[in-house]
Amino acid sequence: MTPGPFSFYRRSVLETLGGFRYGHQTEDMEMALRMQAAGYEIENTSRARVYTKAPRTVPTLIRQRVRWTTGFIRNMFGEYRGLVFSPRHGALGMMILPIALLAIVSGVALFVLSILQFIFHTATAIQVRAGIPLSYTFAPRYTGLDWFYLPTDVLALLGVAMLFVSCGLIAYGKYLSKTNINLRIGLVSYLFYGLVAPLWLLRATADVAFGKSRSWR
Amino acid sequence: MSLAARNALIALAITIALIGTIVYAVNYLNNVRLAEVAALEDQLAIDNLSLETQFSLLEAAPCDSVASSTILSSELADLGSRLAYTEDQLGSDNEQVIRLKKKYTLLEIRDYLVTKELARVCGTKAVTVLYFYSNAEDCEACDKAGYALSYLRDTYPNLRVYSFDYHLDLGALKTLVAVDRVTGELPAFVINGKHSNGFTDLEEFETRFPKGALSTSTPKR
Repeated sequence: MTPGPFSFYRRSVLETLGGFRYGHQTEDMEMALRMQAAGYEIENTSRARVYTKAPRTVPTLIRQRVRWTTGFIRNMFGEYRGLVFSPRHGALGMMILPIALLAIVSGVALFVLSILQFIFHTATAIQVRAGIPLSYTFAPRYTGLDWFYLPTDVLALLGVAMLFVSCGLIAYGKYLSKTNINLRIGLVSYLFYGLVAPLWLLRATADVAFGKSRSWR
Repeated sequence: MSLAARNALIALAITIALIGTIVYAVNYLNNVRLAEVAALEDQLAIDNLSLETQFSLLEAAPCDSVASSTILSSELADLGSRLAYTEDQLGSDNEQVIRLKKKYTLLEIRDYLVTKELARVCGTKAVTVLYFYSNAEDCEACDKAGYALSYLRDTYPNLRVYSFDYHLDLGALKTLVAVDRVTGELPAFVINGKHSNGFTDLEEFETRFPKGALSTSTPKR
């Protein structure tokens, strides 16, 4: 992929492929897919340092991500559907694009499933506790940390470990970029990211499903 | 080595280290928990023997404060909650869980018998509830009944609740079911010797207790 904030193109390639054109508001992605579909390779400069303007509010962030996600889905299910699971396109066809699509589907599915489970468990808890004084239900029962009751589910622990690793990476990113960002706000907003992300995934998939187009801003 | 290959190797190493650590930690915690469950099993065996001894001594011993109390209360409740969690984690079909449940059930039956004997010999006024539940699909109201009994047990200290898995394949339990003539729909209750079945709500359930049984005062001796 050639990221929007910082990409260099060989002029001859753009001239051969016909230059930028409408790509469902994700023109950089469309160009990257077109280049790779035509057999060109994109090199990644992992030591490059890039500065970009990030959305400053949650609604702007959601609008930006909805734009990215709908653009990706429309490109993938439109002109470039042949790339998915195409062994000829290597890691892009066999891994990156299928995983990106799976991330959208699983993000929406997990969110819907979590809401349904929450409703189910709340309804069950209310039903079981019906008629019992609320003072008993909400009475604090903390009797100290007993490791016996710690969950030892591999996936749950992996999730917690990934959370810590991600926080470490945010801190390392601050060190690498030498930017003056507030680490505390960054870490707190990262924890909320998981709650907000399903919103743009849902809106994006709904937009694609109902053929709705949104303005850039 | 190219930069891309080096980065890929580092990413692979981090992934292996992360997953390896998690798998090791889960394995370690599970082993420690199994050791604790084994200790739980030992504790149940000791408690069983202790109650048996107490039962034998009871006839000769005077009704003093030491002889006229059993180990149940908080210790048995703690064993019960650990057992319930272990059952939830390892499954109802796990052999170790079934063995633990049998020992726990024996302990409860013995405690019940000692309590009954103490009431007869020393005139203690403990209210006993035998609660027969099922983890199979045949007991819709068991969750509600279990929670209501937890509330009653925590609120009224003189209440002794003994919970039994109705379908547990244990001779002593089958005998208790036969002796107390526990039949009909689940949950089934025997409250101070009086039978009842089913559970609708706490208000109705409280009417099944003898008058004055549900009071927060210390029981008379």
